[in-house]
Amino acid sequence: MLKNLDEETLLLFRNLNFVGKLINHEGEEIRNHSPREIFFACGNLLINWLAVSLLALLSILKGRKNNTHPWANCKEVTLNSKHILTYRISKLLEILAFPRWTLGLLAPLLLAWSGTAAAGAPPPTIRLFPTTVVENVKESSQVAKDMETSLQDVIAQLEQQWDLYQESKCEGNEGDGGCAHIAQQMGDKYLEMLSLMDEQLPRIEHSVQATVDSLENRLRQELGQKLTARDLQEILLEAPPQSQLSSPKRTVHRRSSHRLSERFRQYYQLVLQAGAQAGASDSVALAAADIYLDSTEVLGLLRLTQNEINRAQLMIELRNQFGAVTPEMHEVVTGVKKILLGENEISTPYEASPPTTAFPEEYRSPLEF
Amino acid sequence: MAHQSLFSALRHSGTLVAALWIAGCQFLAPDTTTECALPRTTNINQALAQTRNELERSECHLHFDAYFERLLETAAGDPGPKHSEYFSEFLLWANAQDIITRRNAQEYYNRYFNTKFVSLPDEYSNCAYTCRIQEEIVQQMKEELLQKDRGLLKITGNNRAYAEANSLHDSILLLLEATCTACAAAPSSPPSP
Repeated sequence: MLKNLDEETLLLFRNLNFVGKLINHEGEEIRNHSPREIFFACGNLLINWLAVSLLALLSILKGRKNNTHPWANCKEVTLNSKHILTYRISKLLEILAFPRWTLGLLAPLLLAWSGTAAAGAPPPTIRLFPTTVVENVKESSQVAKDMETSLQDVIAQLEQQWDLYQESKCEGNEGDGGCAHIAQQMGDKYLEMLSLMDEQLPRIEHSVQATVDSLENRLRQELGQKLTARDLQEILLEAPPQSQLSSPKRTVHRRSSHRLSERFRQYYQLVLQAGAQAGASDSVALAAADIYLDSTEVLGLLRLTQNEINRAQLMIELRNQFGAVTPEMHEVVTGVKKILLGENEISTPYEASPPTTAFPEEYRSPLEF
Repeated sequence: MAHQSLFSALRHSGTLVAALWIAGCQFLAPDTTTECALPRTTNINQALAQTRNELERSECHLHFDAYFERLLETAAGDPGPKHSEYFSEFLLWANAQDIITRRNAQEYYNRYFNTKFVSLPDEYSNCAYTCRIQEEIVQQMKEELLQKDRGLLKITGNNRAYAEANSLHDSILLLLEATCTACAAAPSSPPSP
């Protein structure tokens, strides 16, 4: 016999919860019940749903007849204050009754959805670029740009002086007054460059270190501890082939000679693009890996540069050769230009575009993974 | 009389010895008709048919790898886009005949004719297992890429699929390098949120 709507709905919820647990493979529920019981539970759920739907339909029809259903045309009723309160409460209860029967009708849809959700569980969401990492990358770019701006003028002047020194044929002719003056100026300018770098390199190093630390932590947690090697492959294969291979945005320059600030600016753009594409875990993962490895390399270079600067400053102080231009000075300036300002921009995309010829038949074997 | 009985005895014993010798030969002499012969045709369909005939004998099951290798060589000499389908059907047949397991059949097929890599372990996390044998994985993936070169490029002529496999190979190695570097680095500062 049909019970009333509330009791049927409650029973429906209980059965829905039970079957939902079975679909989601919660072991306790499976172990404690035999297959026969599970079969009857599913059957009961179906019967429940039919009962709730029928009762809900009957209550609607009854409500419409008595004009008490929330959807019924509202009539103006003149009541005293107490009756108004009671009326409003009863109206509220009727409105709250609305979701019950719709839920009864929606229950099978919810069940089907939970079933498909469990059966085809999406791959785990990986979060490699929280806000802190994005901000660190942005800051690295800005700090590098500040240093490049301050160094650019000094290096340009130093190069001009070096060219003048060469054109004046001062090599081997240091005794000449004019050559000595040029050499003195170059020495001063060189010291100025070293001092500027000595001031600003720690800032960049600190910023890049923060980027490396945060990315390292995310990579270790999200890719290293949560996933297997096969999962990494699945992440890379999530995107459709067109977006993965044919998009020119996926070309990342590794070991290129871009300016440092430009490199970090590209990383920032890459992170924004990767995050903006829906379901682009492959882009996010590759971007994170690329930025992390490059930043680690940059950090190593920055430390080497810092060591060289300290050594050069010490040598100058020890020799007291402010006016002498040594080949080492020129090498250091060349090295700084390469690292910070970039030279010989050679892009080396690590991902080649596939041939565009179409393969006539795409056979899918049942043995394919 | 004695002469005749002696002759009769000799004849019977000779017959007995001959019968025993013939019976023994049935067990000792090699039977050349059961030798497992590799297919010698240049046509892949004929090679597959011959291989199926040979593999119907249980004593040839042990030589499955050799037969598969010969089929690959034959197919490479007679390339075509449908060869992956032929190999898939052959492997499914071999599994149905209990010559190889389903997992073996999948591995054979995916090594040569799928862009995905089977060399990647799937049991434990990267930090716990994969990164400890990273060099081995890299070497195995390199070898598998060569197998895909053979299957996708030389046998089926599917340039696009091979390019995908090549790209996937590079991307996986990049991702693995970054992940393993992160796993190996001890946290020097408190983890960021």
